[in-house]
Amino acid sequence: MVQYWKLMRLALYLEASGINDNEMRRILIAQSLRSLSEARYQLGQTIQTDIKYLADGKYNVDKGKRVELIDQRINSINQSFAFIHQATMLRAGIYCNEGEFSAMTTVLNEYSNFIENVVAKNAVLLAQCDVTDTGTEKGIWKTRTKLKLDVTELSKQLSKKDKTIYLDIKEEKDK
Amino acid sequence: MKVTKGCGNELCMAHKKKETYKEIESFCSKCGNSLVYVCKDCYTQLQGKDEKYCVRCAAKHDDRKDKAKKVVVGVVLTVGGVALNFGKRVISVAKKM
Repeated sequence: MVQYWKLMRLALYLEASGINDNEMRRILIAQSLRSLSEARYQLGQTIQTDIKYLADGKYNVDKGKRVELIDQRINSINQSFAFIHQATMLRAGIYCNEGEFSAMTTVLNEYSNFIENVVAKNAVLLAQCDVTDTGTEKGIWKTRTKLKLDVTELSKQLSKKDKTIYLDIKEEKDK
Repeated sequence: MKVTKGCGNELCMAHKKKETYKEIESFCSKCGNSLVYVCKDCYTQLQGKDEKYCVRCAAKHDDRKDKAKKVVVGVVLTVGGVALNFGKRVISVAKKM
């Protein structure tokens, strides 16, 4: 379902970028951005509800089905997280493509706040509930915690009148 | 509570083989890394020494206990029912006599 939403919004943006009429193009882009933003907000709420459910140990109510309930919530969290990540990158990309750098940094900042307040704070709990996580620094949830982006320097550079931004490639080496 | 320690270094053989250490040990005998607290069942790294199992494994254990309780209650009820029926029959036979 989440995958369907994502594709639908991406298709809308791709359609919009192919339209010649400027007015219609702008309306469709605005619509796809709004739709992405709304979906991101809703899934953000879903993630928070699911994490609260796990943190409060509400799965204990249904005796004999605890593991099943934990797995269900973790699946939902993983799906929502993937969508939020992709929707954020898509929104930032759209703003960047349209030359709206300030909006782009706002989106990236919002994502950083989400990672810091929702994911990083609950990474230990999520790692313990997720059967695919090892709980180490290279585990899924601790790696996701590192997605916290520092865009302060980028926004400073973008706010300058004369912009010269150098892009470089960073290679991560195994310790 | 008897907690379990393990090697947190993902490249170490002890970690790959999920070897466990006693609580008094501090360093991995294979790679020398400092040991971390791990879940006794699935080897997930834990934060403190207060827990023996991770959240998911603790839930799994609780589920097993609940299922065992259900089985015991079921057996007791069945045996009780059979005993009750047998008792009633014995009483009715005794009355006839």
